[in-house]
Amino acid sequence: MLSPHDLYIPEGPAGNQVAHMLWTLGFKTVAMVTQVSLPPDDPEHSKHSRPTIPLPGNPIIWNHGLSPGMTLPRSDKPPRVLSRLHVTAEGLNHLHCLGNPAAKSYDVISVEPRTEKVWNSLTQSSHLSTMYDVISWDLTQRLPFHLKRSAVKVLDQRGVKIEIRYSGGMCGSSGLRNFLSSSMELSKVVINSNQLILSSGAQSPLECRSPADLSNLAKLIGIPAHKCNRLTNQNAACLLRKSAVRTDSYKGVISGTEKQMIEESDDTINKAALQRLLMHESVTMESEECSEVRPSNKRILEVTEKSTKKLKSEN
Amino acid sequence: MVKGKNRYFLMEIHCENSLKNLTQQSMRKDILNSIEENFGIFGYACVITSLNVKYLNAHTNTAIIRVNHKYFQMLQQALTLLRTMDGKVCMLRTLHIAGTIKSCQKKLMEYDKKYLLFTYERLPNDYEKKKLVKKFIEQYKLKEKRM
Repeated sequence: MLSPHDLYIPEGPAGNQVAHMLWTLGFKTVAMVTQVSLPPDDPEHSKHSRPTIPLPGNPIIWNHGLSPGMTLPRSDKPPRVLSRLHVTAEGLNHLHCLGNPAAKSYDVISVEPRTEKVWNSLTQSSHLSTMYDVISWDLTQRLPFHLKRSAVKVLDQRGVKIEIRYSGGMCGSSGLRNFLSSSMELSKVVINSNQLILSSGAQSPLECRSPADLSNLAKLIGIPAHKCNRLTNQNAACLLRKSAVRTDSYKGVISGTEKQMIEESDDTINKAALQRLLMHESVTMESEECSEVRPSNKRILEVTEKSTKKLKSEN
Repeated sequence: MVKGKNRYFLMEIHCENSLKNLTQQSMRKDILNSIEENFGIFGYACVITSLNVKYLNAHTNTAIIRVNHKYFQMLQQALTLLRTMDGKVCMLRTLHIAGTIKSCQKKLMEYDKKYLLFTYERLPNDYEKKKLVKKFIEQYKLKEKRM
């Protein structure tokens, strides 16, 4: 079953409106972004200055009733809300943010490399790639540097995704021009289109698009037709699995499921399933017992028949 | 014999302001403008003969658009990239694409039923619920008279 994701929503009241819009459009998971943008490198303070990271903000308060802008039919269950940290890195010292203990409280971590130096360090060191999940650019401007296929392939092997934010294309004609050109370039460079993700990054609710329209937009960019649906569904889900490994594991060991998790899920279904299972087991046990008894019964009968024959012959 | 194949789009218009002044002709103009903006004069020429807004309801913000089946993808892409309609910022959402107008109408009926039930369940008082049912019955009677 398809479950569309949108992993870039701004914080604050604008983000709240956008989240409600995405709910009506049928999205199942949503990520609220806290941005960390730092001033460029100062040679004097670069070694000692460690940028601080705020903790994840307040979650969205869902309005289940009727409100003037949102009277459209939607599902009863609102989408799942995740927290996301977005670091715009203009120098190498900005990447120290990723090692901060506060960063571990976020579900998804993304980096926006503004210079080629940062991009090279991100692709070359395998240790860094365990600290973040996505690379994303603001596509209303042209890409800041030329991307090589080999570097992108290395990122693909490590499970890092590349994000396309489409809301810039919905603002004006110049924005649309830049968005189309840079996203087409990205789709050319990224050979494996399972590495790409589409998300909104919208500042107002009318910049969002529905999942069906997004797959059509992906076709326009140049992604093969049979993989257009994957950008918002499977690829994003794959990213969340990778990020879960980052937060829940320690030195490659994954934590098991807790007992509470099972209890939280719908009890009635579990009980019914358990009852069915138990019934099935009991039935099989009974049948086995019967099958065991029958041959033994046969033997007894045979033995008795033989014994009666012997007795008759003796007589 | 069928003269030419068509595709019918069932669209929903999201807008912050009301679109009561929007007509079928003005909507056609806006769509043609967006096609010319995104696909140039060639795209405009491909679509202009077959493009037609068959149905528009300004109260429920739904519309049915017809186009030749060769260029339906071009139209769909132009509709996703459309930003303004009747001078107001808006967003279009495709609900259904079909080969006949009848299946589009069926889908629209289903969608409207959902819409009515959704609003009925979420109304705060019994008084307003009764009001909605009364209005609905009046509209139904008007339709029967016309028939």
